[in-house]
Amino acid sequence: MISFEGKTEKRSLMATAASMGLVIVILVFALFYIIFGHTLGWFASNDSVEAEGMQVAAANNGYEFVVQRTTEYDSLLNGEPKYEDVALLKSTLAAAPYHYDLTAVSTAAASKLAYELQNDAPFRDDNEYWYFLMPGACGSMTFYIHPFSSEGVQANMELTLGCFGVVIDENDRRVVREVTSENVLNMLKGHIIFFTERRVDANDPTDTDKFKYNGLITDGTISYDTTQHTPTTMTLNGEQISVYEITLYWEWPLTYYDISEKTGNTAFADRYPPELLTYMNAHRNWFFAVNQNSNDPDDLSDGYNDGDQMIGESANYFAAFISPIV
Amino acid sequence: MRGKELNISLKGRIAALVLVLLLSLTVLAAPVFAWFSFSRILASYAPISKPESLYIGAGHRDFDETNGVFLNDHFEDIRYLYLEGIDVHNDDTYYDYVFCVFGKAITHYRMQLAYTTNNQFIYEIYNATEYTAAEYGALAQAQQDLCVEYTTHDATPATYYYKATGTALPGNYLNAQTVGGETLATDSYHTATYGAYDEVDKFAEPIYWQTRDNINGNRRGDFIHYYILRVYVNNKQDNDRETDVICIAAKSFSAAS
Repeated sequence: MISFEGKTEKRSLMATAASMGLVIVILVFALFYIIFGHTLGWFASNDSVEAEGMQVAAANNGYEFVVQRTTEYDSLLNGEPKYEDVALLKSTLAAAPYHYDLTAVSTAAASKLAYELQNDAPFRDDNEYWYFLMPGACGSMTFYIHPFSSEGVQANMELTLGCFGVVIDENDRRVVREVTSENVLNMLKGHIIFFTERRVDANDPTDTDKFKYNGLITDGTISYDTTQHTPTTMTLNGEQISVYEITLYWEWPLTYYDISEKTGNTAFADRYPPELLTYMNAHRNWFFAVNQNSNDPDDLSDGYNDGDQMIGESANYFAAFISPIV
Repeated sequence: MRGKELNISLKGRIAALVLVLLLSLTVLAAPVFAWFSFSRILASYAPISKPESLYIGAGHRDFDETNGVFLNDHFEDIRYLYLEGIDVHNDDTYYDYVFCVFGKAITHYRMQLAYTTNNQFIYEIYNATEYTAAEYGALAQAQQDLCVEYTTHDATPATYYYKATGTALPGNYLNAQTVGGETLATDSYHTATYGAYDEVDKFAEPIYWQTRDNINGNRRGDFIHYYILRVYVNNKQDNDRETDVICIAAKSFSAAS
């Protein structure tokens, strides 16, 4: 093989490469390593690039997300979009830039992916099912972790909630913008709550009234150690890969009384786990838009309803974001 | 550059060749690495149902008819609707009470009533016209006699007058029947009302009624509609202090229904 010891030799190599128009290519790849941090010793002609790269992600603890897309929110009804402003939402997501293409199953060429949240409690109107988020709705969010290494990965992730509202911009155009009001974002954390576990009724598994939850996500973090789980195989871009499925369960409790009366003393004793009450009392301003300091259930119920109203008036679309904590 | 190129040694040429090979391998490998490296953040989105703003209040609300907007936040809470003063010994055959339905961005809605039947009263809903005190003063005595008075509960109370117009809103009963001269509810909605509990007095089984037609709201803005609830004494002779519960509801429907 070739020797890289001689300084002169190296220079002559670079000169040759330059004459062949390859320096640009080298720079491009150097850039790749800076961004993605794959250390490939045999090509590390630039020490500083290598060092910088290693800080971002070591080759054996990285992972990517894989999702499966559904197309309910792209449906048409009588030739019109069934869900108003979904095209506007997508153009806002695309500017972020999130990829939401329907056809691409893989994660290729996308650092950010957007896909539909699963809603298990549609309402029926005129023989048509509508998958809107609203008080009383519940569902799930599934994604897959694909570790880069067969040794597995300890994935620490952050769950954040956001929402998008339709506004008329300065040019009089109808646009969808991410809602930045802290009050509204706080209200999301108290009204659209996420769990890591859900049990269904054995005899009636689709009856959403019989769902029971556990594993309330209180601090917006999720940890998943793939070495403690069994992977499943999926075909991605024609290749068989091992992935780990993570499903989170969300619910928008219908009323304050649903929370106060359906929270059990132990996990799965009732619909909600005991920590929900602790969480609610620790973050009253996330649950109640008014009457936060009251202990009268009717006042709290009013406050919760006003919180629902605040979300509904501010937001046309909800989004749950998952990002790795590095 | 050209001169230098000509001076490359054999070793240099081999090195260049290997480098080119290595680079071309990297080019092939790059998409695979890229594919593993991307997708670091996910967003899962869903549409949120906009809350419908449809409310029932008692009397007056300040409203700009021309622009279709409420002038302030004050409205008369439905708790100010008092069904009081019904005297069955009086010669009057009916009593009128004003209430309103107001909202925002509602395509259309229907009025609904649910009531128990202890008193055998008859209920009707009429559209109502609002008169200010000055407009009321200009009415003929006979017209004034048809009006109900309503005084607001805000900082500067004002009195308004309401008169039923036209005929009663046409509607349909879901579960009414006439038994021995009495109007009673059938048992078809018993379970929906009381569940499995079956020791319910026949007069406590509510009758459900709904307007036949959709009533247009205002898809693009605010609206307020005034109504008269007319309670007919229905030949009841005794002031026997019977109690009835009546629920008034306005329910919005999607455009297609």
